[in-house]
Amino acid sequence: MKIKFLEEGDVILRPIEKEDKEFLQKLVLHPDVRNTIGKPPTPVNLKQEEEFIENLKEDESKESFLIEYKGEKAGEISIGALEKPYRKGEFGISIHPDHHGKGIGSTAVKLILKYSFETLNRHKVRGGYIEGNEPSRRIQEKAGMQEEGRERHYKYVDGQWKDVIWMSILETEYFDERE
Amino acid sequence: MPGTKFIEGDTVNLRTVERDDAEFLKDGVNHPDVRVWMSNTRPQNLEQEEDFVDEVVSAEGDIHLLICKEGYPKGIISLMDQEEEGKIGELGIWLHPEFHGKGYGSEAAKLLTEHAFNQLNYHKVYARAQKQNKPSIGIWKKLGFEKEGEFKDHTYAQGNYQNVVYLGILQGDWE
Repeated sequence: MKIKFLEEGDVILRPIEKEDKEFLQKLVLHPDVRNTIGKPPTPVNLKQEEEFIENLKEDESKESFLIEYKGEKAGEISIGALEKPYRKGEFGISIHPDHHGKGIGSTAVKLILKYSFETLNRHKVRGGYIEGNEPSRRIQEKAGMQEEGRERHYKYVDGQWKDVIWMSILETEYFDERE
Repeated sequence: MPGTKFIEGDTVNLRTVERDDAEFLKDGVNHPDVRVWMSNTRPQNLEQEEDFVDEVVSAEGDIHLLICKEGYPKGIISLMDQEEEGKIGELGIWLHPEFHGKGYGSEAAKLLTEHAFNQLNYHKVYARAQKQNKPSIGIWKKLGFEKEGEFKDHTYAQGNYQNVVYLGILQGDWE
């Protein structure tokens, strides 16, 4: 029996298991991934990856999923809470470069928004991309997200500070779009 | 099989340090040609090296990477936060004596120094070496590190007190 929590076409979002630690380590340490996420580029060994997965259980403010594409591990996506009483959320996504350009990110973001609004009843969901990350910008625009603003000097990459551009979508916009 | 590649060089790669590497680490830190230069005075068994991976390597903050060539471990290199607010780090390195003199240490040192300055925005990195450890001092000098000072009789090794040299480089002076 194939486990799935959310599904569209060839893309499945499922719970993260301990056995995913090797994949998650390769994902987060890949140069093309670590330069596009908030986490600074420091090494993560399997023990740390195991603790990360262990902590997911405890953390009730955040839901994390493994993204599978045609049965292969392709990435990770999570939806966390911002100011919980206001029902706001923020998602983060990374796709392994072996699976870039297949539309997996677009489908996964679509699914996480569906889950955020239709299941978790969020009022607003935020995402972001580091300046210059065009694929990420396109994915978020395609999902109906609007540019919200620029946070300066968010990440240090190749000797330079980079800004992050925050994007968001409100529940009214999500449900209007769905109509 | 060593851990996941973190920094790729021309000859060596720097990989994550995993529990399975404890055996290699044990062979290195106990070797007379390694331990005397690090002032390691006590033997370290396999369990102690496993604890090193679980507790020291896996802790937040300091960075430890295995120096590998074609998938085989050659040594270890570390960047330890000496002053978090000041973004000042100390580099430490050893190679198993079978792999001394091949330039692996120099390349590993260059890769991690570059990462410290260009990706982690360190202000300064420095290294320490016993004055008699010419190969080690050579690694840092070749990279442009300058000798900043010498501490007299600062460690006891090989039957004598040894002077310890400090070498450092600032972000603005790197390449």
